[in-house]
Amino acid sequence: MQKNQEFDAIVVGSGITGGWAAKELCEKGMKTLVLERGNRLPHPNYPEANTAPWEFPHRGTRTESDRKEYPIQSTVYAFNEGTRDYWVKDTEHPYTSTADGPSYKWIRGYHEGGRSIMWGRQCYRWSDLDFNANAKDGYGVDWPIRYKDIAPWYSYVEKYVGISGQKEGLAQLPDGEFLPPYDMNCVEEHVKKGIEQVYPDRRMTIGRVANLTVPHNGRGQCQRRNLCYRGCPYGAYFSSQAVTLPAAENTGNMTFVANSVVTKLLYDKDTRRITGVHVLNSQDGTDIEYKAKVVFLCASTLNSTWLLLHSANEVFPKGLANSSGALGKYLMDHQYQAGAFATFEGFDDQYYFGGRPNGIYLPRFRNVSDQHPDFIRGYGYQGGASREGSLRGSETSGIGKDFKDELMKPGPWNMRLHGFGEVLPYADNYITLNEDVKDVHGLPTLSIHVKHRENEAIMRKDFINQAMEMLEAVGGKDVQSFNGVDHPGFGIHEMGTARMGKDPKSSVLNRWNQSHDIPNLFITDGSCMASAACVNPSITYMALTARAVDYATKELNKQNI
Amino acid sequence: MDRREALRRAAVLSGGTLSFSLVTSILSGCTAKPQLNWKPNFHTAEEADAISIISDIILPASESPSASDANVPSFLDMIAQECMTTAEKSAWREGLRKLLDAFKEQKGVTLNIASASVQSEFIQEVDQQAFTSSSALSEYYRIFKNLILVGYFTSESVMKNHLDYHAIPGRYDGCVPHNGQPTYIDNNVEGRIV
Repeated sequence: MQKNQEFDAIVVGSGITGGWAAKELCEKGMKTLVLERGNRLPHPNYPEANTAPWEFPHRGTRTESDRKEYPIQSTVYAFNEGTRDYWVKDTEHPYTSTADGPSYKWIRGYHEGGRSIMWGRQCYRWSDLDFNANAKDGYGVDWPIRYKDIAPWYSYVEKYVGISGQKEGLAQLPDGEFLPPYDMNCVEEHVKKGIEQVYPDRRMTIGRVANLTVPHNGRGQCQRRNLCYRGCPYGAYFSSQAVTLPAAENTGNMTFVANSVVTKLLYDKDTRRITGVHVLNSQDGTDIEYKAKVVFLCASTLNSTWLLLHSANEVFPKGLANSSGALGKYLMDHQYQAGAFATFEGFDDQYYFGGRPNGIYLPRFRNVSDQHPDFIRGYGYQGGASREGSLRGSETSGIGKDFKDELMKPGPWNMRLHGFGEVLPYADNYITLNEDVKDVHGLPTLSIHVKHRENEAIMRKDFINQAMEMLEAVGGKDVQSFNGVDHPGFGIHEMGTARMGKDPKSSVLNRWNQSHDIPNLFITDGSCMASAACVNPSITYMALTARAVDYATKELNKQNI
Repeated sequence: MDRREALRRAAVLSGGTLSFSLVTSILSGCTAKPQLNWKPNFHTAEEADAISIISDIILPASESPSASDANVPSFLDMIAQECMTTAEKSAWREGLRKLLDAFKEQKGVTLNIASASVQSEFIQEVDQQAFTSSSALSEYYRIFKNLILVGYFTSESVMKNHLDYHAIPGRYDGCVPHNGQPTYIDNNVEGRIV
């Protein structure tokens, strides 16, 4: 085994937080090793970015072999022939869902950039409504930070990422540093005006999204192709490979090693520090160790915690950095796949042009200034309006020339509202190592024990009902609700399992995303979250990562780490 | 975004919808010669002929091409061969046979050699019933029709020449007047495919 390659810092994972950690560490002069378990996927060489629909043999349809090799991943909205290679083969990376109720769906991408290549790109700041939530109702531990602590770091990362959006002045959804917003279409404008008139405490805004409506920081602007999930050759949305990894590379301080599965963190019980990492080469099965002064875990929520559980030793028998016993517990997600849609009449002389990679957002209004009698926390809606396309003919009777010619023209307008609801942190939503099921490398896998409970179910009913009520109130016709199976994990916003907190006895990380137990260990991906809020989490991970690197490098310079 | 479409498209090709009772009768006496310009992998020549005929009844040539001119029948053959599970494949075949058996029973002749007007009349009836009844035949027909439309409206000639296709739109205008022009369409067909 090779040994003793030394760096200032090691970053495990190159996804949305690993890319940020790499950029920040390198720009502060740290010799940084980035370890990615999958292949390189460098910008701008995305294999299917410019493929026309008719060039895909199955026109996007999942094949039988897709469904065999990717039984879980292939159910994701963004999985198709243009993105297939970006998802892990479930057959190679199994896990076990052990709770009763709908199975856990763990959605993953193992390659340079991780899920930053196929993420949904919605970016919403948290507010003190969120940071105060655990303290207020007693679920989970109190956050060790408040909005004022993270606000400057939101600004810092937003300015670099480039986020289009509209300022609204809402306390529960703070404004950020925005590029010009995307347009709403005329039905969305109509719905917005209607809702804001009927419900003075509700607001509908255009989605805040990490897509460039104008050129930004040397990157090209969005061409409105709405093909983001395949990778953007213009670099017009934020991904690690298009944005942060090139910045890290430009410093000359980054060493990027792909196909590197970090299997263990190496711990020295005398110094009580991490000394380095043990790595398995996924291609040839060889081992290597690397040393560093500080380690950033950015391997994604469940995999960072897997690594700590798998690194247990005599000092930390329940998992490294787990003197609290909180490691692996309090796994959260957002619940979604429920809401309502309706038809809007009177706009047949209106249309739109272009593919907008974005929709609308209707921020949380429940439990903002008053208290709902039946549930705590809240939800927001994503959604949008569009005219039905040619395939509407699949759902109606009709054959022949007139039928076909009519389908060449756009159909009726529909507007959809999809709820995204907060899930509470529960100690008995947890993960454990499973030695009985091994992955393709022979490593133990995870058992995932998660179910959504009463507060989630009551909230879900409310966001379905409120979606229907709002669409009816603004003149929607044929209003229909939908309520898909609520698979935990399928929100792809997994959070928790190594939470931040004030008390080392009940939390894994302190206010700086630093291990309470091991000062040179930082974890800045979704595992650090002490609650889930109801907004998409990635921009918060980015801000926490940049903030943690700033702290870590200062502490290193003071020789406190 | 675009999670929004997930529900609408989730149901159609999932195995559960292709649950048909077993059909044991076998087509007999059909001697129609295939006139295909492609070789079916999944379907028999006779089935492939029937698929071409039915596709062209649903989507005949007008200013835009017919379904078979847009290579829809071979697309259906490939989807059956490469996208369906074993159970779905047999349900698909049984559904098609049920359709052809029903034709022969009602019209006294096999579909492939019947006159165009009799063929058309039958499909018209099946199509009307498909969206008001929940029989096995109706379920099969709805999936069949959906795949025909998918194959047709994602074909190169239809997208490029008969829809408002833009590979690189370059802009998004939220509100533009609509005066009967064709459907705007770009390369993002993911949300429109079953």
